Amino acid sequence: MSPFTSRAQLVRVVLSLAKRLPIDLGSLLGAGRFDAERLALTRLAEPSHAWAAARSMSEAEAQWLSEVLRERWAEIGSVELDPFVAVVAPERVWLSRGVNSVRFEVAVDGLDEGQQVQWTGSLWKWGAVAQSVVIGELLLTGDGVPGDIYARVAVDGRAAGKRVLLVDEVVVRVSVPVLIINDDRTQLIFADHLERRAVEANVRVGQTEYRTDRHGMLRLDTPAEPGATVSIEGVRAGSVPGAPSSAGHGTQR
Amino acid sequence: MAEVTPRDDVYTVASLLAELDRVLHPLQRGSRGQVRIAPSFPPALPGAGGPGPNSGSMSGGGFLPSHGKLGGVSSNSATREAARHLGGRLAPEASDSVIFKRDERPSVGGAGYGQAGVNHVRPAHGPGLRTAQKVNNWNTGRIQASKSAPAPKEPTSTRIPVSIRVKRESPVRDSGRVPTGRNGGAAASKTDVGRRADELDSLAPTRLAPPLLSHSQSPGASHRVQPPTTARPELSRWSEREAALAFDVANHASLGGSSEPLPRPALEPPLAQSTPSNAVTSERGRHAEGEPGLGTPRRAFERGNELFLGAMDAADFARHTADPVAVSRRDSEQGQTQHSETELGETEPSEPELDELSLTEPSGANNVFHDAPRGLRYEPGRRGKALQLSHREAERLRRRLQTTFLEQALMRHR
Repeated sequence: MSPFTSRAQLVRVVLSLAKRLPIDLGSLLGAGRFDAERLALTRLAEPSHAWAAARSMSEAEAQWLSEVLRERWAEIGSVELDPFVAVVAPERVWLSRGVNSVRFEVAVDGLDEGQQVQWTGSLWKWGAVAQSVVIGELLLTGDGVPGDIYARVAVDGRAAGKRVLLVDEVVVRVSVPVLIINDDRTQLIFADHLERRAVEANVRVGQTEYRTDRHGMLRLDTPAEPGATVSIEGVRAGSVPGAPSSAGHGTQR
Repeated sequence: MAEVTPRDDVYTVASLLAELDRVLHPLQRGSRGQVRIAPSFPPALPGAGGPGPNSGSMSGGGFLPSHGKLGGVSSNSATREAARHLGGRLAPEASDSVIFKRDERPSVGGAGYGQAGVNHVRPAHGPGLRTAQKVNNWNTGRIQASKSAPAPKEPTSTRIPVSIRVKRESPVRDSGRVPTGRNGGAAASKTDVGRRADELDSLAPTRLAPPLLSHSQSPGASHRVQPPTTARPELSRWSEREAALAFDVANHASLGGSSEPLPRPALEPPLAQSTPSNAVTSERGRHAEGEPGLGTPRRAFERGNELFLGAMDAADFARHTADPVAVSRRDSEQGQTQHSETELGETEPSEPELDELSLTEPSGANNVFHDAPRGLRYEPGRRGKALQLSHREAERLRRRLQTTFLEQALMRHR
């Protein structure tokens, strides 16, 4: 079982391919017919570019593509994945009033035991030392919404007798939920304070759980019950207007 | 030009891997590791023409009969190559050779023991049969003399490789050697031909082995060529007595002495109706190397059974002896029983099943390899080993199996 998320797996495969393929099949890749592919490999050798590609996909697509790449790689040679480290953290943190905790984990594969982990980021003034998990606390007050959270991890270890320093960093979006309900209470739109839609987020209307679509919208077959509580990712987003609660339609914060 | 996104780069790499796979492994993915090297098709004969000229000469110094029945003419090394592929032998001088076309094969008398196979035959050098002389008459158009007449001097170019397959179990294949070359040990001299012809006269008709070639009695009769998958060696079947005995033993053993025996099925030995063509010719080659002949039809018949048992190997034999019903049913279900047989052990002698591997029509020559039933699958090493089972060994094995089944039946009966 891989400790990484699907996107992290894809990035690992892509980075390993970009490193190994020119070594194993350099002469073949030097052919003119592979110019475009060779340039793509060069670009993907940059971790930020590979992560950008992975983040542009859904988890399912990233998983499928990583499997395809590994299968095709196995057809032409032995699959050798390099040591890899990734921060496992939520893409977005939905804040509620009060103190909010954000959990960061580091996943490592391909390194020998005994590596050292160093965390740095916006939540730690002096940096944090934790082997696997570090908790960041974020306080939401009435003064304003804090900015996105930046976290970076550096893992110093050894692989195959050589010292390896692996680094990964993440940016977690901090969002304050915003709920928009239409008049007949059958369509609900979930977004944040910057009007970024909550795509494929877990929401709850009353006692029923749903999942938003790719536009951050939830369509109900029957109108939502007036006064029902609506939450997103466990954070209260508002309530359905109408009796018995106070009347009023539109945006609720 | 559209901007290339990082996502596109990943898909580009995926396509690159697929392209590299195609470059590095041109074969399809499913066919990797399954490349089978089979005897290649014989090369096409250049200038395959119609009936041969009426004159006695041909291009390249060959000799053609005046019957005009010879079709494809080969005067290059392609024929030799093809013959080598197909297991036959070609006389050193036979580069100027004449190949019969399939539908123009001569009709020379025979009892229908022949089965397809590619052999290059000098019929006059055969086992000393009258019919063999007829073959020679037909082939060359020169030997018009009677049986005791000395064979005329043949020019070098008169060696005519005939593309005719002979049934493996034909007694004739054990009753004499087939000459394969002028200078080789199998090739007989002209005096030898005359001497053999004289020996033929002294033989009674009952002692005459069936002719070498599978032809009908009428020289002018047309042949119906059977496809390779339907041709069956005749002597591969058990005799009626043996089949009945085996079935009764097995039936008695299986029923435990029941009063209602099972209906006796038509035994279908799994010996191949689709005999690999080159396997047959390899046998032919073995025969051509000088196998001791069988004097009488009875001996030839025993030899045929021996071949059958050897080809089946001991396991198949035991399987058949144990449960011929199941075997027959299974063979029928597998579609391997493709010939009609009205009675046990009887075949259709009126229709010699010629399974020709015509050099001019090589298609289908290799198709039988995959469909060959068990026991006759094209396995050169195994086949040669199986044929080494002697008649005595086979008979001893059969008796031991019968005894075993009888003992089992008696124990059940008790």
